[in-house]
Amino acid sequence: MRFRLIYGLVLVAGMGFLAVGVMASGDPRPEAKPFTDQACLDCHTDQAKLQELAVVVEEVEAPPSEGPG
Amino acid sequence: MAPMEPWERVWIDAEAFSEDVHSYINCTDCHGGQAVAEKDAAHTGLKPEVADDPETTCGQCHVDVAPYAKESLHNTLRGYDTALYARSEPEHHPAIEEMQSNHCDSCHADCGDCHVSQPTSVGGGLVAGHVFNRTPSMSQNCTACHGSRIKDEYYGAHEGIPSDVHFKQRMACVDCHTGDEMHGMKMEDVNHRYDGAQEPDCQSCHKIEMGTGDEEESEEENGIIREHVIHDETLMSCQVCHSTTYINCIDCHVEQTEEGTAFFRVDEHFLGFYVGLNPNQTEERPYKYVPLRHVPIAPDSFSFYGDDLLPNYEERPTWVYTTPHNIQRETPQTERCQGCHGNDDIFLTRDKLSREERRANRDVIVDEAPSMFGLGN
Amino acid sequence: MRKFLVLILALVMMLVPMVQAQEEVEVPEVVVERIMEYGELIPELDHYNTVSLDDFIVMLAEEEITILDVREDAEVEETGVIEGSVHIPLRTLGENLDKLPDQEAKIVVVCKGGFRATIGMTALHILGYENAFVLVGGFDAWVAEDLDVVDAPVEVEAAEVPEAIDPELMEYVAEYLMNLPENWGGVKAADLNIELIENPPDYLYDVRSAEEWADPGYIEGASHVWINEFIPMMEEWPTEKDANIVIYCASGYRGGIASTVMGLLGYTNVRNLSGGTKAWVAAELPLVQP
Repeated sequence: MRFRLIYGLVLVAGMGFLAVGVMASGDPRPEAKPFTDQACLDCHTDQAKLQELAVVVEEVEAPPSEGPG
Repeated sequence: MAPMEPWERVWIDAEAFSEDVHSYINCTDCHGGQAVAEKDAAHTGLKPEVADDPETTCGQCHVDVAPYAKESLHNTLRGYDTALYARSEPEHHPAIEEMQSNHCDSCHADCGDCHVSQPTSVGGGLVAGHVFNRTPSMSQNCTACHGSRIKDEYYGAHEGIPSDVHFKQRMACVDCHTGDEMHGMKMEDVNHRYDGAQEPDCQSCHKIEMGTGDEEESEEENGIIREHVIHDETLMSCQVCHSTTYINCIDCHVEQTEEGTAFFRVDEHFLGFYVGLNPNQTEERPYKYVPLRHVPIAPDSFSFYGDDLLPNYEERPTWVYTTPHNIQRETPQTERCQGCHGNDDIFLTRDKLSREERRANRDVIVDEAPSMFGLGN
Repeated sequence: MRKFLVLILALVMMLVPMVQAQEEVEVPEVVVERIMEYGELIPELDHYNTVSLDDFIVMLAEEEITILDVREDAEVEETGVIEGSVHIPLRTLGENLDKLPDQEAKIVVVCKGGFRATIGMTALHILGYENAFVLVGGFDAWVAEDLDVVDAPVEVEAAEVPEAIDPELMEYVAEYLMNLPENWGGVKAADLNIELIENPPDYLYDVRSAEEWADPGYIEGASHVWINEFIPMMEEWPTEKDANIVIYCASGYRGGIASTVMGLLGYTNVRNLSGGTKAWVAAELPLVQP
């Protein structure tokens, strides 16, 4: 019984160390930050606004390439 | 592909994008600029295409892929350097680089060109309202650059030439070409698309037909095709028998208009199928015979950018190893032995070369088609 | 603050179905009625009112018919027309009914290959022109046989629009034709295959007979609804009017009837496989057997 208890404690402690190790070695990806760029989305999700603000591109003649590219 | 409207190119589909994990990232983290309502201020310092350096952008999260993608042929277009520098001397490289930046670099594919927008070469624009695609779209991404050869072959766009058997089975590019391959993760020191092991490898799916299936079963039972055993990979690539007529281009010249618009002119192109000697025979690609495709390089292709920029023109063949994407189960070559044996028409023999090209192609031409009886040929 | 957000969310949720409802085309009752009637008539039509070139030549010799060329102005100018043709481009057909004979008259609609003419014929049927036919293979089939063409169509004096045509029906059909998409709602075999690989249509309907479905087989992924039963089964059509729907038959005519009818009933994204399974097989694309 005592052996089982010790064995169990060692196991739990081992798992704990492993978990801490994984967390410490860590995910190299940056932490998520709160989203604060709603102003960008407000415009870029608004089709009418984008159409209104779209830069009128002057008709450029297509390059006079010939043959398969 | 229909050209996108200017608004459509930058439109974010609010509903769809909100489901995308990338919507948690602040716009300015990737694109720069400022999160303010006024357009000019918002766009100050903007980077519309963010992934020029995959490691510092997408690679912040995609740490397992970005370092490889950065060095991949898709991102570096290093394959062009390999082919062009072999034909020139170091002193010509700056002029060639200038040419490439004007005429070739729009096909440089960064992360976004495959995963969120159309490639720049076809005008860019967000494919699906800024939703990221794990797998690129065959029609909007891959064939946007791989168009006049791969797309037209695969879709069967050349009149009289059927589409690829894999297209008929509804397979997209990504069904054969894996992410590992596209990101250049499997191979080191790759300087050309045909460097290293063949990837994808036909045998990875066609195990049984190739005799690489269950060895326990008898030849008859496991469906090994006898012709595959006779014509093994030391003799030829699969495409020698299973691809058909493809496009070949001759004499491409690049120039700029007076306004500085880059353009090209391919003087001639034709459909044909030619088997020759493998110019890149390696342990991994041991095939003696491969289909050869004429590339449109000419000694004066880049004369707009300088005189005699390709002094070593004859150091690399103009008929190059190719893997046409019009694979057929049955072709004239598979129909009967005489489709190839004794049939000089499909072999790149000396008489098919122009005088100027003979030396460049000395290592890929064959004297004559293997005869029915001359197995040593 | 949270209450405020909940309120806004609730408002938005109420608005969404309203916006969607507004986008749907309101189909007048008379259109639905006429289409139901047409649906009942379809099984009785000989070859679904398609006319082969040989039969058309016999008709020309023996009967009084109106040839209605629905190609674009530029096409007609370039190639000329079959002698005696009345030329009304398809998109303007609904506004030019006063140039057609009465509703009982025999009208053979002609375009380049038969695709547009099928749309025209179907629209005419819905408008009550029950003797409207379509020339199989269109003008291309005519010139392929080296038959004579003339430079110009006949000039027709505008007369009265038949009184029997409901004005609301006429206006609605005219509007539908006027807004036909650039490629007339056709999809080519190879392009459909690309879509089936990447972004399959929501619904792929095969409107051929059960015999054709079994042999030579069908395009994998399709559902079978025979054209004779297609319109009567209207209640079972998709509820989403903007669903991506592709219809096919053997050559494109029955598919053209079905897709036109769906379009008239407010389906905004219906296409017909150009050339049907014949074009599919010609592109060496596979059919599967049940």
